[in-house]
Amino acid sequence: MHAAQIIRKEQPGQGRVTILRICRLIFTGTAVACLTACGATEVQVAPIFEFPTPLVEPLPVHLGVYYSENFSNFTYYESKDKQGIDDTSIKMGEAQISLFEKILPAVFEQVQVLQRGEPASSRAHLDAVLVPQIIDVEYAVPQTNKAKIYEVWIKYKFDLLAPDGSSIATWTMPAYGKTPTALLKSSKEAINLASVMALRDCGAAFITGFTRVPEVAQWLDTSIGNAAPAGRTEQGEVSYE
Amino acid sequence: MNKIVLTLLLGCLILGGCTTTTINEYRQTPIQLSDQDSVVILGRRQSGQHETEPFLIDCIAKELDALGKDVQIIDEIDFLNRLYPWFEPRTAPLSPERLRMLMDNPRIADAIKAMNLHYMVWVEGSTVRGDSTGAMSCTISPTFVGCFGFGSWEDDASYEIAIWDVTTFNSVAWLSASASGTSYMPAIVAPIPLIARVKSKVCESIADQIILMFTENLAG
Repeated sequence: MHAAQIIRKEQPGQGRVTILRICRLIFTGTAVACLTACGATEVQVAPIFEFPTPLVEPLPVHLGVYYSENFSNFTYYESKDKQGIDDTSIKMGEAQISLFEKILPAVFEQVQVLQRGEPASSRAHLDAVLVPQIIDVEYAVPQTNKAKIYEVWIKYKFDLLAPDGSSIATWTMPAYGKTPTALLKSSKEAINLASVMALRDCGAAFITGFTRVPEVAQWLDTSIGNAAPAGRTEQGEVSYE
Repeated sequence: MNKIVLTLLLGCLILGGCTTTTINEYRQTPIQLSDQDSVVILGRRQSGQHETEPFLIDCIAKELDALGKDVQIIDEIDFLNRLYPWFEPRTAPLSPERLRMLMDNPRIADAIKAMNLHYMVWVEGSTVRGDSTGAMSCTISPTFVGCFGFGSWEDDASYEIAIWDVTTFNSVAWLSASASGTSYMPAIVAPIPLIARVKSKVCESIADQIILMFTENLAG
């Protein structure tokens, strides 16, 4: 018995059926991709690089820093009604804590993180307490700014308090970050990078601007008895047009 | 018909590969680079309108590897991190005189000395997309997927490069580079991109000119 050789012959029209199947698969896949692309954008700001250690001479200050719950868990939310794009929420609490944990120990000789409800005695040895807050966030995407870049602005408010709670100084500080679109794959990644650049700018602004706040400079001269630190240099102001 | 389509495509291919580049150069003092020196390429990003693309900085830095293995090209990000926050967009020195004031800080001076940094190359500018023409329509249906049409657009690049000598705090040379190119996108069922490599061409031109300036007096 000879082994049966089965030869599969292509039936007439089978090639066209195959092409139709491929077209249907592409159509279905494209439709699913479009539908899943719609909806809210949520960005958990995660630094793509570790914030660098500042190159500064530390101030001879024992500083306490208090991060409120709102600051630690800060989330900026914007509905699509504002800019005509998807609902967007940007969670930056963790990333900004990470930034301040990097820069404050470089700027001040000693830094102690204070917790809510700690007794006053825990602050007695401190020279001052810093309380950072975010008071405003804005962002722009290429669809709205026509510049093909993603931009994030963050406005901070800092309170420098004496250990007894009285105010030494209060000031606001803007930070700005931007990124071109060409490098990145998605708006989430672009907003994340722009936010990280804004945080990096915040660090630079705080480090170079802290001793220039008039009340802070006066406090450093009188209470601590120290002139401007060696790290302070005169730099031209930069404007973001 | 096939000959006409092939001729059109060939014409687009030839035209799409054309990018014109213009370089102007001005040297103030001779550039003396020794084989133990380092050079850093930095992008100007001090305002919303000044955003030198990181791609271009990386490209120029890679092209400058041709200077030889003994001349180190410091990575931009590495340099910015090691000197944080003194070369951020809001704090970077805008002139050699500002750099001198910055280097009065012993920590900054020591950090730069540790890198054997001799020259800073500042690149400022951008590539913008100009007018685009044409129209294209794409159809996705259960029986057919494809595009038809034709589009073209022009990219214009304009950059200024300043070279600072970090040891003497002088601006030693200045370059301007501009390039323009037209890209085409005919679509016959599938789009056929014929992209003018404007950024790459301007990067190569800038890097070639910098290499020429640095190697003329390369000391052993």
